[in-house]
Amino acid sequence: MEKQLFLETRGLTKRFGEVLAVNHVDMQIFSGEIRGLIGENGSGKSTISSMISGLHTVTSGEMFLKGEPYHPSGALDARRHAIVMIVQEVGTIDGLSVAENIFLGEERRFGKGGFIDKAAMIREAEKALAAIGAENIKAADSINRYNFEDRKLVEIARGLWYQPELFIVDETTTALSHEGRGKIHEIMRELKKQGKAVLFISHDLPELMETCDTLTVLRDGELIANIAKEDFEESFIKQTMVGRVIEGDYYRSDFDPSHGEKVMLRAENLTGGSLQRISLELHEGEIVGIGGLSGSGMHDLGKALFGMGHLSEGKVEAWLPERTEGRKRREASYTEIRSIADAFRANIGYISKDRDKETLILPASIRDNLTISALDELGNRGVITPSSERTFAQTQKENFKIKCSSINQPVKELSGGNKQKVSFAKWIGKGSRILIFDSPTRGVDIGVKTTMYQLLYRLKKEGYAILIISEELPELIGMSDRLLIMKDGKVTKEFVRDENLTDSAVIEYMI
Amino acid sequence: MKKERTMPSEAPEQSAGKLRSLWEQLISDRNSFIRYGGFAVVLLVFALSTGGRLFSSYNLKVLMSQITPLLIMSVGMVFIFAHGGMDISVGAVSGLCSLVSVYVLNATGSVLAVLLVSILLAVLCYSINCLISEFFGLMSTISSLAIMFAARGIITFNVAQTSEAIRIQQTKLLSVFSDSYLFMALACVLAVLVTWFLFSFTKLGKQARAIGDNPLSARQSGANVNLVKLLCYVVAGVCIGFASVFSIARVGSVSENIGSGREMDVIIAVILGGMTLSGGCKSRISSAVIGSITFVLLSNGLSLSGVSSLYVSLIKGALFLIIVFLTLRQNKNVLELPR
Repeated sequence: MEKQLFLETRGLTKRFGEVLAVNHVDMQIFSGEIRGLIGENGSGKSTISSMISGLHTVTSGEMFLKGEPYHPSGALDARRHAIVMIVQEVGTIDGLSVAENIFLGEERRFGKGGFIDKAAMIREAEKALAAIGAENIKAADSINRYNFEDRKLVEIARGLWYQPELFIVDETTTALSHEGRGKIHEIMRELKKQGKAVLFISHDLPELMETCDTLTVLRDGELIANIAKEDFEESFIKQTMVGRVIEGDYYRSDFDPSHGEKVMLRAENLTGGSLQRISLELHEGEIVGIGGLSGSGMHDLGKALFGMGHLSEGKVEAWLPERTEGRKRREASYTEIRSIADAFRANIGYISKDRDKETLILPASIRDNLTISALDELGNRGVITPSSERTFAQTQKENFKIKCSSINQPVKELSGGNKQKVSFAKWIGKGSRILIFDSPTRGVDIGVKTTMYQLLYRLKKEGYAILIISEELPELIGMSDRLLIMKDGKVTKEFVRDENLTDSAVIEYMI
Repeated sequence: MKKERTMPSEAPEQSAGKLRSLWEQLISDRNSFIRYGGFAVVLLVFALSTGGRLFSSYNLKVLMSQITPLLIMSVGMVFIFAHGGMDISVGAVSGLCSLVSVYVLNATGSVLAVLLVSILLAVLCYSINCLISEFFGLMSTISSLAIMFAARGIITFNVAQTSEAIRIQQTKLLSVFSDSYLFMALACVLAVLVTWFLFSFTKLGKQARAIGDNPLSARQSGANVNLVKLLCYVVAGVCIGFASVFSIARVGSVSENIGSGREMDVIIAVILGGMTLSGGCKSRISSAVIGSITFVLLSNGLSLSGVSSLYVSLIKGALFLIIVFLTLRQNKNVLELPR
């Protein structure tokens, strides 16, 4: 059977400020196929699907739907053209019933003399749910009664009720259980059988290889290749994604766990909140990794070490070198960290997991973001001159190779990697010697990741004491001198840097 | 989603291109546009509609005496707006300061004492305001509402208690505050310089703006959020206490509704100056300076052009709406960001 072209993009381009997210992509999606879209973070997958489903505007280029020009004005318009997208985030509204959620914006269909015929709406919703085999969800119930997975199914039922010709599934499956995933795969296959098109975006390569007919590989916003099912091979696809063979120098290449003698940061018996009797020491020139599941308490540990913990027991101490305070000379000593102000004095720097909400000030300029933590250092008797700020920010911008139009550009316009560089720079520029980085490479694309790892290694060599908290095991194994694994608020295992350490050896202590 | 590449920027070819980019910059920075555009329009319209009477030497003096208290209050209030606070007790606190100033002046005859007491009283009111809102986790608007009613209550009580008017007995003492335009100009310059210095060159101003944009990040970047807020309120208090002396010197006596409406004047003035009331990195002292001047030109110009005072409030209200609308539109037009 001749494949029928459903959607075509020609020279599709999207720009976010200075950043080119999608660059001249020519793509064809056929009816009756499951198309996989794969690429690393920042490769443009979500941006393309958002443009197709009308969530993002198109910067330049054209789209054609069955040969007709297609310019969606929004998600509703896309739906009218039989294109429906299921997004990664929760797309249901609390407090409404399942049926109301399914027919949000379509209540008019059930209008009856100015009122809504709820019974009819519920009947129709039940049909929609039955169509995807989700009979366990009751249409009349409040959506609050259902968990994330069921809510996703409700969204899918809603999407399918409109009988889409193109069904876009954007990284929905990552959050679902094995069973839930299976259900979605089944639905996709069913749609394919009916001659509909499916665009499936996922990070999970095996999943994509199993379900898709063709894989489109994106890299840095450009379409690199379309790979047909018969050519599916994991290492080949990975290579195409990354554009080079990954090995060796991605993380640090040495396996020497040695470090300085001096303990820079010490936690004793930290208890409180989600933490239970945690003790650790961080030395000069050492990288300590903290791994675990996100509920293991490791993120709270990072906060506690920065003086933000709610501790009922235990204490955090940091090394304060010899210094002058006012007119007095103070001997080097350990000082207890009870507040952020203490952590500040002890030159501890902290980057939160939620970088955009807690570490950076998005609307403010790069300059303001860099200087805000270093105001004491920049001030001359309390006076901070614009020229000292400019020099400082310019130096940091160059040291960290932050890509921006100028130091006056708002941070919100930067890409994830460059935002993270600003976070690094703001602490290192201030002179912090103890660095606590929670999820340092989250939302950072691969090229920048490499530079981050090199930077971390350089800092270690320069004697910085570094604590990395991360949910990515390869990164922890690749970078740490010592790796602590946390589970249920406790440290369950400690590994010393070793060539033969593998994910699977570590993972059993996490779950 | 994200991509680290910038297109080669086209070289600016001609001056026409430069002019256009300047224009685009102006459009994109709507705050500056409102700030200077509004000022220019108001100046031009009333210069023409009053046939130049706006700049008569008599009217210039009137303008000066109207601008001085408003401007000094506004530059102080910038500190509150910048960190995301909102305060509607300006009028009542300033009225209370005026009342106490009269008592102190009549009792001591010392201008210095009046200044000190007025400033201390305003600082006290504002500190209490801030502490209430911090201690009880109350929205700053609500705590300022409490302060407003309390201060207004004291004024009303005092005015009702005395049978004769509460007035300055030796008007000469404060004449420098009401008649010397040079002194007023100097006071304005002093207030602007001091607040501008604090706002742009010290930790206080920088941290206040950071708190306005993102209190969490500001805290994790070393700002003592509660202390910074308190200091901002203290600065505002100093300015309002100082400005109140100019107000009472001009009026000479205390009535029940002295200073009322001042809070709205200040808010409209800073908005006219292109300030977003949510605060943050775009806050500027210049918003308060230009805005106050624009505001006074507007009220004064309206009455000079023969617009009945019945309509003045209505016109101010409409203007307020237009500018709020403009700034809201700006928020909607923010850059599309990667999901």
